[in-house]
Amino acid sequence: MTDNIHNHSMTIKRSTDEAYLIADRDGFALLDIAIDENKLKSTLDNDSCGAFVCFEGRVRNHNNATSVDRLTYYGYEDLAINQGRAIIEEAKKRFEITHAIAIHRIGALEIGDVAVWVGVVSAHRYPAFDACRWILDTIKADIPVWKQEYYEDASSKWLSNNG
Amino acid sequence: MGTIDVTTDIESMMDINVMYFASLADEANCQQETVKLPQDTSLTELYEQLSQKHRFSRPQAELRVAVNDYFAKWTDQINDGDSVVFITPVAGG
Repeated sequence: MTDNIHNHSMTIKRSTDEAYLIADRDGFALLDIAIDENKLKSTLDNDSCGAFVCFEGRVRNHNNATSVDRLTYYGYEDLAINQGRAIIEEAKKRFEITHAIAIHRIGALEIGDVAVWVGVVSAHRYPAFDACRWILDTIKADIPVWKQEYYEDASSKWLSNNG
Repeated sequence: MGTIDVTTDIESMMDINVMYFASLADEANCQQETVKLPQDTSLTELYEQLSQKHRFSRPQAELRVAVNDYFAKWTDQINDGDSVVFITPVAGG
């Protein structure tokens, strides 16, 4: 029952190739399989850029004092892509960066899996560091992705980034 | 796929497609439903109605709202055929 209710938000409706194309063009996409960081890094390659900064958010085995077995991310893909495009556009206005790409993964993830990836290239290092942090923080605040953690006693909980 | 019927003549009604995610999908026990509403129904009124129907645990003040796949303001007008999603606090990253 629960699976049926959430099926639409556990997988993307686009193909993987299309998701990467959107990520390259607009700066943000959701994926429902492992994120290919080499592909993203080569997309960001630019001879005018002396700096490449990247952040990987990984699934950890605990939340506060509770041990986490696994978790599932759910996304509202069309809104995520529209909002992600706005975030990357805003980042390019705020910071002197050349390009930025971010991907959030949805579906069932294991401990250690990369849930979110942000890469930024710029001529010099500071804008890349600053933009990478700002993009990640803004994704966490605004992108419609939800997380349900499953614990060792088979219970589960919806998490929230802001209370 | 439930519908809420509100009396008035059919001409002045609009169909709104509501999609549910995360805890709201659990509470509504569905992914989406079409709601028939009188013209000029506000997003706040729509959430109030659905909140009573499904006994949503979160007050509107804790939610954001999206219309046609973009974040919207609670005061934005909705029109026949629009797609509405109530956004509970997100948890990405």
